[in-house]
Amino acid sequence: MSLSSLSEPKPPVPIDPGWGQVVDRIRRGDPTGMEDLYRVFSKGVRFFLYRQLGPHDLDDKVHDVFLIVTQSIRNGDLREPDRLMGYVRTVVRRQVAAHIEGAVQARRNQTDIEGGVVLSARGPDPERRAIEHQNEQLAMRVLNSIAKRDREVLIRFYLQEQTPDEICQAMELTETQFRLIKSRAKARFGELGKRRFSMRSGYRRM
Amino acid sequence: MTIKAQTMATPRKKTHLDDSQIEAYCQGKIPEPELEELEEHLLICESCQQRVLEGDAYVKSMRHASARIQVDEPKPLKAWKAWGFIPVLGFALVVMGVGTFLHNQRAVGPRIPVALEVTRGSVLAQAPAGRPLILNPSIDGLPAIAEFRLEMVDRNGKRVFAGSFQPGKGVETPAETSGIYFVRLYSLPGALLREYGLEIKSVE
Repeated sequence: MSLSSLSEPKPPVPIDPGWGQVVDRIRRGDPTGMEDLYRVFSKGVRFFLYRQLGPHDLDDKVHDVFLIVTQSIRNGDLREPDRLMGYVRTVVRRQVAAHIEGAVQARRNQTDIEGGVVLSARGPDPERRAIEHQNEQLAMRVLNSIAKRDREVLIRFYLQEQTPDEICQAMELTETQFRLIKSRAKARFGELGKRRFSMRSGYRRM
Repeated sequence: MTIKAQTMATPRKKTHLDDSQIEAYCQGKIPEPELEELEEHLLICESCQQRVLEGDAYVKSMRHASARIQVDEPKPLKAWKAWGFIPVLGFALVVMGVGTFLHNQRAVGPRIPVALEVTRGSVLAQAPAGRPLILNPSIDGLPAIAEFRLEMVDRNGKRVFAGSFQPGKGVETPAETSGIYFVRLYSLPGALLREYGLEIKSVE
């Protein structure tokens, strides 16, 4: 049970606009093709980059991916236009990998000048820190309010990242019992946080 | 930068991600062929994007809270404590041992489990200075590898610890002084897979 599914019906699945046609329009210079593609970038690509790299320079990163993709389309590098989203995903993943590698290299090359190092401009965001702290408090309340055995199940699953099979075997649980323990905890978390839980994330800016 | 699109055709996902898929995705446990399909859906579905963000927040909160709970929970009693005749014989040893134990506790304290998340410019994991740590790096999204190489460096890139990490088992690291550290996971051939931020703070 997800938090959002507690109270809201699921919206309809987005309709595939026919990416082959979108690619064709972009190649022909039709601005509506760019608009359709941009819609994906303003939400979907932004979501992926935010999730992997955080809010720092997010607009620039989205723009970089947009340029790479549109350039490739215009150059005719996209061999299967109907698989445009697969291509976008590949570009996003490579960009993420490049950013992470670049950040690690930059830190490796950093030297300590006068005893202090500026790590980067990306300090902890106070609002995000507060939200994460609140969520952790809710999770603590959930874990403290359930039976010790159930707590152990959740710790094995979320902290130790054991598989459901491993947990069920070690704790002599059926799969249904395991699922129930998890879903009850999540429902409890949702109830506790219904008013407090806020997902005011910084990724929706475009 | 030119990247040729993959030629492998994957059927497009026609439905929203279900709850178990969301949870598995947030924990990085979706294998590649299915992952491709799910992520292509996520690119165009705002509803599922929101559910994934909520799932991320939940999984992260549970990981961190679990790590804290583990520290606070009392250790189970040893079986030998049930043996009636042992306390008489063991009393002297216990008295001797307690002195040493308390001395060590003052010096370094108990080991502190720390759940590590990928550094995203967000909140760094925090741990007290002067305490040995048990690091539990999140391996979500990483390939299923039985053993990783783990390295911990200070903010100048100087290595302070290196060891191996097996998923599900924490890595014990020695006590460190306060400061910013980075924990890196490598495959055994030496490819860097992930980096985590860790802030060690002095505790009054």
